[in-house]
Amino acid sequence: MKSYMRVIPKGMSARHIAYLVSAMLLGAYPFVFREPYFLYVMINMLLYAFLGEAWNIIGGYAGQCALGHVAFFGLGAYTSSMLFIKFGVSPWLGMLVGAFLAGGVAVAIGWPCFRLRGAYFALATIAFAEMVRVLFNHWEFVGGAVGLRLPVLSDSFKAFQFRSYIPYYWIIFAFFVFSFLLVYRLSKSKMGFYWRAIRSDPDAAESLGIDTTKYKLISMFISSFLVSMGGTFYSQLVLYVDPASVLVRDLSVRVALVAIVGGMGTIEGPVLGSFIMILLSSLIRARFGEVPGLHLVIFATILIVISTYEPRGMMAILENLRSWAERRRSVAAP
Amino acid sequence: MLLLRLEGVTKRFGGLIANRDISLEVQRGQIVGLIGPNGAGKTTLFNVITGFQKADDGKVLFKGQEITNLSAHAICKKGIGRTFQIVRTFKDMTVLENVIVGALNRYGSTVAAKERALEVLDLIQLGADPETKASALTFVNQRRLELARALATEPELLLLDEMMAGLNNTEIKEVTDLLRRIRDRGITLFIVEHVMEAIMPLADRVVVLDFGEKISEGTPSEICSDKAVIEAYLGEQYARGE
Repeated sequence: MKSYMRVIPKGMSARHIAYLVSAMLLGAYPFVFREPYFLYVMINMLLYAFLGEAWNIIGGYAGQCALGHVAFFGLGAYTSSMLFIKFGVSPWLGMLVGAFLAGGVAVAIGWPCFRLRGAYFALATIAFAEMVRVLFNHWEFVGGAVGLRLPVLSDSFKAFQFRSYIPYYWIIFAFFVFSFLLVYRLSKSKMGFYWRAIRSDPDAAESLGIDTTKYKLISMFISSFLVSMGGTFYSQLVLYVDPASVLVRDLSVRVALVAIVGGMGTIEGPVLGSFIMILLSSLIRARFGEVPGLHLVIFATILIVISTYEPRGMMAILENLRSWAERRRSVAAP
Repeated sequence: MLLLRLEGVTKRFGGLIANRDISLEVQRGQIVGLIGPNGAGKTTLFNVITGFQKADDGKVLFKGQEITNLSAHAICKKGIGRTFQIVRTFKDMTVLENVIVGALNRYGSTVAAKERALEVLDLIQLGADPETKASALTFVNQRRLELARALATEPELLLLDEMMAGLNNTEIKEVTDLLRRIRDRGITLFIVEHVMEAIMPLADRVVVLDFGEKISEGTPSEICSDKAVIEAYLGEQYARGE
């Protein structure tokens, strides 16, 4: 029994095997499930896993409960769409412009908001996102409440438009892998240590020479940069941008919940969270469509269980199970 | 050689004066005690020196350079470390990670910082696995960990706020020895302490605060026979006991 367990190396390498297997499964998915619905559901899951990774940088690692990320999502969607419609700029370039714009706005907003702590910071970010939504709702130049319709063209990589879902699947898969590797690298770096120190005790962090405002701003910049890329991806997927879809408050909460349910401040958490929140909910809605709202009931139950039993999320539950199993083994062994 | 100099430092909270016109000097290589009754303004003075609170008046000079009202992280970079009255370890990080965060103050790479952190843990002799979570440590070890973390930032001056509070006699002796070892490494110590049995044998000089004002300063034996200090703080019993 014991030697059998040794076949799977312990610790990090077991983790790496899990990463590899997951990547292979995700890579095989579009070859197995070719129906548009299954592709769409998986694209959505990967999009939220990507957004969750991005939120995790500010919310999980740096510990700042930002609940206005939809503003950056919307900025990305609007910037690339406007540049494409008005000037014919490729949405790929527009995505970069939007991401830098979102990052800049995030830093400008973070500067005053980071004076606030805890719930007050969360409230300030919600208020900011609402202001952006109201602004775009009344701004005729960007289509106001009607929004923007992107011209439908034939398949073109340059125009970021495809008839099939499959290219979108690969693009968001690449985005997600990029964000995963980025967060992995950052979490092991000096910055990762500093973020966790700030989350744990900002005063103690200051006393150890950490410029807490600077590192919070950097985390806000990276986080909103990525979320804005997600906004461009979404607008190219649905070819339609309006305040009700890309600036709606729900999205801020969903992005945060993906990371919270999965496990804040963990690399794998957002993937697990997105799997549970986005994939399962879509499948439940598809399979049990005759029971409206069933997915919400299941969701709420999962949320209640997690927040009462293990607020650190699914990753911590898995960790608990693993150490429980190890204890059982060590008791049974002799 | 003069390391730290305060010139007329005043700190007000509304109508309350926490520190009134305080001037003092700390020489390099010394252990200086800061004592006084509760509410005398000891922690406030530490907070002003380390940039956690802004002085309303007066100057703080470190190595002849004015550092008054710089931000806390900038003051740490100048070479002043501190611990807190209520322990503030990073509870969800391991012992080693806690000290690495401190070491990153002087080392750019996490590899070099880890090496330095292990050296500091060696000096502190924590006696706990570096991989344990800080929250799982005993109280005295959390204090030691906080000290290790501050030491890892490589300060020239270390401000310790009530290291001994809540420790038993054996632990006090261990920590006292540890502080001497740290001083022997060339680090100057400025210590707020209520445990007189600990600070008096340890300190080279003692500063006494009462109601926000400096009422006395001198060697421990001078302080113990100072009438004003006995009245304000030590009490008759302690004076006779000496």
